[in-house]
Parts: sequence; structure tokens; C-alpha cells
Amino acid sequence: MDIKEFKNIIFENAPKYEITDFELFYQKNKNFKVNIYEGEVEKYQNNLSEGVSFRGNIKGKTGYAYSEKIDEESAKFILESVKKNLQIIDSSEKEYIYAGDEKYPDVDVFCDKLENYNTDFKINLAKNVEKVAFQYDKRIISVESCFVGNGENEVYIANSKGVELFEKSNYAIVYISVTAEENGVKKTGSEFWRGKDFGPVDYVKIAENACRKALNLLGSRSVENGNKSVIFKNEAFADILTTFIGCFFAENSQKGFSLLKGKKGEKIASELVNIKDLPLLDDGFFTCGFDSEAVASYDKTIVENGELKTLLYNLKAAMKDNVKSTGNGFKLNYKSAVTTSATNFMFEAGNATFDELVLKLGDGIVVTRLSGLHSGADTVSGNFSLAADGFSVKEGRVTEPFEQVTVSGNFYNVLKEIEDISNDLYSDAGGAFGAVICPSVLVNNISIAS
Amino acid sequence: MFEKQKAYDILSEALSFGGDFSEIFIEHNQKNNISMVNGKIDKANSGLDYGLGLRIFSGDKVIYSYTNNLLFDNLIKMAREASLAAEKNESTVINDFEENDYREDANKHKALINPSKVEKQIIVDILAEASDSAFKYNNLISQTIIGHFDSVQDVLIANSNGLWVRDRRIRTRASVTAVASSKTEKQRGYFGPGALKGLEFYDETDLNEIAREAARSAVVMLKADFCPGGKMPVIIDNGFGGVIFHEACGHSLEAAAIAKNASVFSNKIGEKIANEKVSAIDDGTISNEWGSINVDDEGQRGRKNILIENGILKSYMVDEFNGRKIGRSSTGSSRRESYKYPPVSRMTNTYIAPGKDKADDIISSTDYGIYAKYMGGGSVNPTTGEFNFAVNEAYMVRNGKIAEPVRGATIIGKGFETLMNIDMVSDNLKLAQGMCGASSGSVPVNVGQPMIRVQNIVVGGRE
Repeated sequence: MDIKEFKNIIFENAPKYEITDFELFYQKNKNFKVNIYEGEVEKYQNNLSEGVSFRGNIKGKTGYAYSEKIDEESAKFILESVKKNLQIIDSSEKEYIYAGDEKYPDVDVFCDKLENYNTDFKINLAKNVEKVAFQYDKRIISVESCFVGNGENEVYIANSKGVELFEKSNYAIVYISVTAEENGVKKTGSEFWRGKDFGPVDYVKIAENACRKALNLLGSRSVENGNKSVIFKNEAFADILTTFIGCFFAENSQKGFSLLKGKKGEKIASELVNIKDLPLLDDGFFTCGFDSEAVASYDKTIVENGELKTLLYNLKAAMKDNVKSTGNGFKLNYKSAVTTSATNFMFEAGNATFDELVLKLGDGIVVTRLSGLHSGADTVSGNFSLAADGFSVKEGRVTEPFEQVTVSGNFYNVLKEIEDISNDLYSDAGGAFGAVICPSVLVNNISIAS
Repeated sequence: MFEKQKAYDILSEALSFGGDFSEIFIEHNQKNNISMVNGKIDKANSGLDYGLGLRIFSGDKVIYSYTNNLLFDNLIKMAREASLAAEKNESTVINDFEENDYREDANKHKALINPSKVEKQIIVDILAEASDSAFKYNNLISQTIIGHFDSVQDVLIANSNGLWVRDRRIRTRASVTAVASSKTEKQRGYFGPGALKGLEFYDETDLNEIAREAARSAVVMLKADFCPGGKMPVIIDNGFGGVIFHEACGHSLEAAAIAKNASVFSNKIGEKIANEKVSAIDDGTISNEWGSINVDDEGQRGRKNILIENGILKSYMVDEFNGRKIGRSSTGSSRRESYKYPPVSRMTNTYIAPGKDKADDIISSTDYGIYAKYMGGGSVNPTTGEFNFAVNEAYMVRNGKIAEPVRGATIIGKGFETLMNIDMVSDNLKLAQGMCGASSGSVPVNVGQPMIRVQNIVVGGRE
């Protein structure tokens, strides 16, 4: 059933269930992916899925339901479920249906050219990435995963206050993960690329970067225990920011799950730190004209010279703090309720080059990769203890790689202990709560154990 | 739900150009989620996951397509397009279907109370009582988050070999988080009990006791100093402690990693890979356990697989596709989160079997080390065997006695070294529930073990 037809059924019937304010959220995703293994197609995927989510209010309470089946029967299931669900909701948790903004920004998130690449082009691209990796160094013994894909997302929001919005975006991805081996020891490296068009893809660079990451770690040793200054290389620092990004969500602070509660206007970070949320960024992975609640997107400063300017708000959290939504009310997908998400989360670059950062560090370590972020980090207290890969630094020069090391600290302290920031901005692949863009940072007082 | 003739036509169409095996997986999955923060329900969501995943094998290649549009014409079109990705070959015969239905009588894991048919207020009352229990435990408890999840997943799996299997999986799970706060610190205690059962799960699980235990753990950790770092023996208690085996070894025994020679355990069947005190089992047949199955997501019966016996590697966990590559048959281990994922070999209920040591002896024979009472989650790189996981509640061990609590501990190591370094295994086996994420999505699994001791492992902490 066409979504507009489904919308009409829902809108016609909602009042019969005494649902007054309501909103329909629809998502459609088309994706293609081809995996190559040892020069041949290993896996070939071509998918199309859609789903619809509905939230509605009765007497100040909000209920949710979703369905991947879009027909008359499902409309009934959705309305009945919403009514049942909102009966158990606490009335202080009411959500708001938005009357819409006067203007929505034009964002360029769909690239027509992407349609022009046929399957053979994508298969060959993936084959080339793998081939470059095998030719790069004879110590590259295998390519575990190598794929090329692209996809298209459509979002449609319609609500009882007359809002009707549509956005279509697309993306292209390339990924490779390799294993290097020397003297019986294996190390892996991977590289992920994402863009709007395959045109600018540098497949040689993608493959070589993955290989270098694995090869550089061969011959790893252990390091001395102790408290050290550490450089978190941009990729590793992006992982830390991604893990603790929820600290900047008003919803979490209201529930007591962020220590930034009540810190607006206070110094929460080193003076060098500037953080922004940029939904209108050109070519950002999370660029969008509106959030999942139909609030228009706009760029905003979160931290300026170390001072907390604002947290990120959805409509419900904004109402509680008596402020306006920052347009950060997002659903992970149609299955989830509205929560908060950053968009393009920009931790601004500094002036130093990466080499200058290493020189300034003098003696310590550079952490290039962190593991165990979903378990070794406590997002409430900010404490983390994580497995790390990287390199030792002696007298301002990168020396040998290390392994079997953990780095421990506290996220809130890391923000305060940032001593210098380099100019090597890196964009991560984007996670559930936004895409992080950040440089490498030099941080004092991190515990190292091995 | 779906006629045989339609299935036959789709499976045939999928092999019309080439390929040698086709399969459809149809899913209708009704889910409910309720979340309570500080005693108030803040979110309640219900939904229906619904779709079909089509899989074709063409030699060493797998082709996969999924859709929510189950109109016959659309499915035929999808099957035709997918078939074109196969290598051209002689036509494959579709065998007549042999019917198997595990939804009712043949269901080894019967659910008594279908969660979709119950007044939600009953669940709310259970959650509220648990939240209360945590708050009442200690006035340092500042927040609670109590969650409920249930799903009724109906599947139909049919393939060109004539397999026709229907199955129903009813799962119920709670999550209990208690946060203890001081002026500057917050610590959490967490448990996530669940079962392959209906709502009778709550009659058999004391959520209040679990909430009090989460509160106790949070309070103890709030007052704890940071864990020291370095190499030392680690005693890991039973239950969720089994996550060490899951990460350090389990993932590396999955056929997908073995087939690509991307596992440290490739070509090691019959070899000693662990201390002789270690036997490990993956058993999908345990009645109503969270990770149990009637059939896997290729329609094969779940079974009990001995992975390691007295330190010797006996078996991998094998799915059809990777089984072809390594010349082994299915072990009933093929799983997927939903129709959106091609299935691969995964774990079900995986545990280290009970040994002969006594828990008390393990502690009393340890001069200095860490006792990990509750483990958190972790991850592994199956290629290098490097794993990491968090310890939620830990204590120092000194002179054979459990001493002060310490927090923020992480354990890292390499699986093949750790398996050899397990030098004591006690007799008090216990299972615990978790969600395991990998290439075929997030699936429910049990981990488990009796108390064990691992020599010489890196503990990450702060001096």
C-alpha cells in the first residue's frame, strides 16, 4: 500500500480512538552491497525495506507503535497498540506534536549521479580495492572483508497539525579489513569510506590505509605502566567522543545520566575546546533539513572556549527546561521512540600539525585504536578503561608499536586535560547518535597498564 | 501464512538463471518494549517486524535480498533479479516439501503466557516493584531504569532441498539498572535476566531480588577505589563470567571465521587449544533458556555441540554455507537477528563445563590478584584473538582472601593464551543472558561457566 494512502487511513481513524495530536513517521531504505573475497564475488545483497511509526496523544499522554507491514490491518494494529501503550505512560512524560517551522533549510543530500553506477562498476571497484591490498606488501596475508555498497533513504513525516515533510538522501560506501602477519603474529587494519558519489573514491588510498594500519602494528611490544600524557589519534578520539556523546543530551541530564547537568555557562573543558553540532554541513554524513519531530535544522555551538553553551534538545526535553528544541529529536529508525541524537558533531581543529603534537608530547604514547567501547566505558560516570593499540613516543619521535595495553581515565577529565589539538580533522562513519568529526588531541594524566 | 505453491514458485524463480540452492525466511515478529525511569513509565512501544529474506547459493557465492512487500508479484520479481547475480548453470530441481511444525506440540520450549495478550498494567506493576526495591535498598541509589521486552517471532523457512519448517519463538526479558550517586560520582549495577518463555518468566524470576542486587553492586562500587593495573591472576566468578569464553574463544570457533582461515583456531580440530581442565559446550537444546532454539534460522534442529573436551578442540559451530566451504555439516548453529540478515554460524547457550575444583580453594590458593564477581560486556578480534571486557564488580585478592572492592577494571588478552592459562575450574556452573552482535545481527545468547582462575592476565586500571 502506498504511504499516502496509509496516511489517509490512519488520519481518518485516529480520532475514533480518541487520539487527538498525532504524527506519522515513514522510512524507506534501498540498499545494495557486494562483498569480494579472493577476487570473486562472495556475497551480493540487494534490499528494499520500509516501515512506519506512529505516536499519538490522549489526555496528555503519548503512545507509540510501529509496523513494517503497511496495510489496513496494520493501521488498526497501530492505533490499538498506541491506545494501550499510552494508558501505562506517566503523564509527566508527554511528547509534543510540532506545529512546524515557517521555513526549512534546503540541504543537498541526494546525488543523482550515484544512480549511474551499475553493478559491474561496483564489483570491479571492490575487486580493485582488494587487489591493491594484496599487492601492497607480502605480509598482507588475507583480506577478511571487502565491500562496496550504496543506498537510498526516504523520510516522510505528516502530523495532525498540518506538517508534511519529505527528504530523500543517498550514500556510497567502501570498506576493507586486512590481516598482516610476521613471525606468527597477526594484526588487522581496516578503512571505511563514505560519500555521496563514487566519483571521488580513491580506492588505492583506501586499501593502502588499511594495510598500513595493520603493518605498522607488527612487532608490537608492551609499554611501562604508569600515568602518562597520551595523544589520542583522531580516529581513536572519535571513538571516545562517540561513546560519550550522550553526555551532551539534555534528556540524559534531566534524568540524572549526565554530569553536565546544570553546567550551562560553566567551564567544562580546556579553553582550547570548541564543539558544534552542524546539521547543515556540506557533505556531512548526518546532514538533514529537519529532525524526526519536524523541527527545522540549524547549526549550533555546544562548547565555546571550554564553556558549555547548550545541551542538545528534543521537543520533550526542551519543554521541561523551558527552552526551544535544538532540532535534535531523532529516532534511530521507525522502530524506536524519539530520543536525542547529534547530527554532524564537530570537535574543532587546532593549529598544530600532528608531528608538532608528537614533539610536544615528548615521552608517552599515541593511541591509534581503541576496543571495548561498548563495555569498558561508563557513560554515566565518564570512567573508561579500554584496550588500546598504538605507538610509543620517545624524545618527540614515534618509535615502536605496542600491544596488550589498556588506557584508563575519565571523559570529563579528558575534556579538561586537553593540552593541545592538531589540525588533522577526521570524519568517522557515523553511528547511532550522530557522526563525529574531530582532530587528534594531546591529553595529560591517562593511566596505562600492560 | 504462506502457500506452498507460492514458495515453490519463488524458490524456482530464484534458481531460474543459475545457482544451486535457494531459501526463503519469512518472519512475523510482534514486539513490546516498556521502559521505566525512576518509577515512572517513560516509554512504551509496540511493533510488528514483517518481511521475507531470500537467499541463493551459487558455488562459493551467496546472494541475499529482503523486502517487506510480500505480494507474490513483487517476490517473483525480486527472486528473478537476485537469480541474475548467480553463475549460470544447469537448472536445479526443487524437492517436494517435507513439513515440520514446531509452533505448538513439537515445541521444545513452550511458552505458557503469550505476552502480546496480557494487560500491560501487570508488567508495569512488576517493574514498579523492582524499582522500589532498588530505591529502598540504600539511600545512595539515585536513579533506576527498569525495562521490559517481549517478542513473539513466527517464522517459516523453506528451501529448494524440500525443507519446510515453521517455528515460534516467544522471548521475555527484563533489564534492571540501579545508579548509586555521591556528590561527584555515579556507579551502576546492571542485570538483564531473560528466557525463551512467555510472561510466566516473571513468576519464576524474582525481579525485586535482582534489583536489590543491582543496587548493592552499585553502592559497593561507588565506595571502591580504582583497580590497580598490570599482569596478575584473575578469578572470574560463575554466570556472566562466561563472557570470557564467549569472547576469547567462542567467536573464533564460528565457521565463518574458520572458512576464511581468519581464526586462530582454523585447522586445529583434534589439537590441544586449552588447559586440560577446560571443556566447553554450545547447547541450543536447554529447555526455555534465553539462547535456546527449536531450530536454527536455516531450519536445522538445535543441538548440543561439544566444542572443547579436556582441552582438545572437538568441533566448530557450523552453518550450511560456511559448512560447504570447510567440508563440515551444519551443527544447528545458523542464526540471524531478522529477515534482514543472511544467517551465519553463531552461539546459542555456550559455557565452560563444571570442573572438580572448589570455589573456596580457588580463592584461598591465590596470594595476590583480582576477583571478578560480575563481568560486563566485551569484544574480540577473531583474527588476532585479542579480546577485552569490563568487570562490573571486582575485589582485590590478598593472601587467599577476598579483600577490598575495586572499580574500573578491564581485562584484556589473547584467546589462545588465556585458554591455556585457565588453571582452576570449579564445579558451580551458572548461566547468564546477553545479546551477541555480529555479522548476522544481534541474537539472544547465554554465556556461562563455573568459577575459574586465569593466570597472568592484563588488568587495566589506574594506579
